[in-house]
Amino acid sequence: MGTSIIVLLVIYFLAVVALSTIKSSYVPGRAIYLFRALFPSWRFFEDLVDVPVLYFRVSSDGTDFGPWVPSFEKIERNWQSILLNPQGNLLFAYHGLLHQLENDIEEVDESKAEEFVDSVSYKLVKNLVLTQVPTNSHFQFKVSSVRQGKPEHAVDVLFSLVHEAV
Amino acid sequence: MEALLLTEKIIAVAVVLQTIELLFIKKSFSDNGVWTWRVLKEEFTIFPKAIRKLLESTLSYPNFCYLLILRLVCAVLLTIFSHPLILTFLLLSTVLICVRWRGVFNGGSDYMTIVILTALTVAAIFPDNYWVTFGALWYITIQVCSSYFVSGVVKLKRANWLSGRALPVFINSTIYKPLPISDKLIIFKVSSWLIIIFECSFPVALLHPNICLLFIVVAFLFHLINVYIFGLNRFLYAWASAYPALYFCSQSL
Repeated sequence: MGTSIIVLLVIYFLAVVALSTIKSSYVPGRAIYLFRALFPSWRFFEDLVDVPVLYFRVSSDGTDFGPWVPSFEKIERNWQSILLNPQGNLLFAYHGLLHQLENDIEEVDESKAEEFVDSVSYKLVKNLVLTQVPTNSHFQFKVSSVRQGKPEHAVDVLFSLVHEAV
Repeated sequence: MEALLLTEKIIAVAVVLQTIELLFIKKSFSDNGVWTWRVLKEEFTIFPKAIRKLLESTLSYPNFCYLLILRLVCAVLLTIFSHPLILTFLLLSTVLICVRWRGVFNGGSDYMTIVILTALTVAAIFPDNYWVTFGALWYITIQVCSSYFVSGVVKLKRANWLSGRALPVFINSTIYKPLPISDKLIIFKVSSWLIIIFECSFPVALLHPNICLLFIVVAFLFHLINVYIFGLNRFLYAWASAYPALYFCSQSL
């Protein structure tokens, strides 16, 4: 039985090598995407890629805006994070939200671009910025796509409408 | 079976820690937070009414907090004793948490947690069937071996990894402030190749229990380093819970 299992394992891992040549792609279909945790993907840190970065700017009257400010600040390392790292994992979740927003932008039909403000991803990112801006201010956010290791290569992929923080 | 019991205890600890973390950040999914239910539920209109009602009852705020508290209680209980209902609830609640976060909360650790809980739940439902238990342990083992192997194989095709250029960029592209790292590319090239060789060779751990123990120690240290550099604490416990199954399978060949 041991030999049979070894043979099966060798075949399995050869198949894995063959399948790994297929570029992973974004699977459309909201139901599948919501339940994708049931279909593990073990591709970690595969390559340097473009990552979305969120900025926002604030105005008191909706016309005279301040400079663009990055939404997330990097945090300090600490050894307690071996056990619990809620702030760190929340930041990972924010980054996941931005990745989802980027994917959703790519799926938008250009003729219906203005409807994107009604998308769940847009509204959640707007909520994220809302937690960071002063109440009763006006704000706008943008998402830039930045190549890892080459921050000078940044492309703006989304400018939001001007919103009011109530 | 001892391997199954140990896997249960370690994943129970992992789930306890995961749930405490989620409760710490409950403001983010409250009605005044980022992942508000009022917005999220728009995505679930694709499901039938019965599913939408289930999701509304479990994922809206504050019901989601109650679900997390119940999950915490069940995970603590699992550290003491096992029952199919506890494992089934932990599995389903993990899936619901992932759905609440629109697919996954933490990516890889969610995948591995679900793999482990699925295997444990099936084994618990058929406790007197040796072959079901055997299959559950092998399922965990195949998945954990694949997690390292696939990760290594895909890196083999990337010039950035083979040259060592990717690693320093990843190290300083984390959620943390940059580390004062060397500018000598050769250090990162050697480190990258060590990582690739370790990951690609992981299935060799199955050939002998002593080899398996060596791989487990190296893997554990690898994840510990990743906790410090990248903040991936959840990976440490999720993967550690798979190691008893891995060791069992290395003995059974």
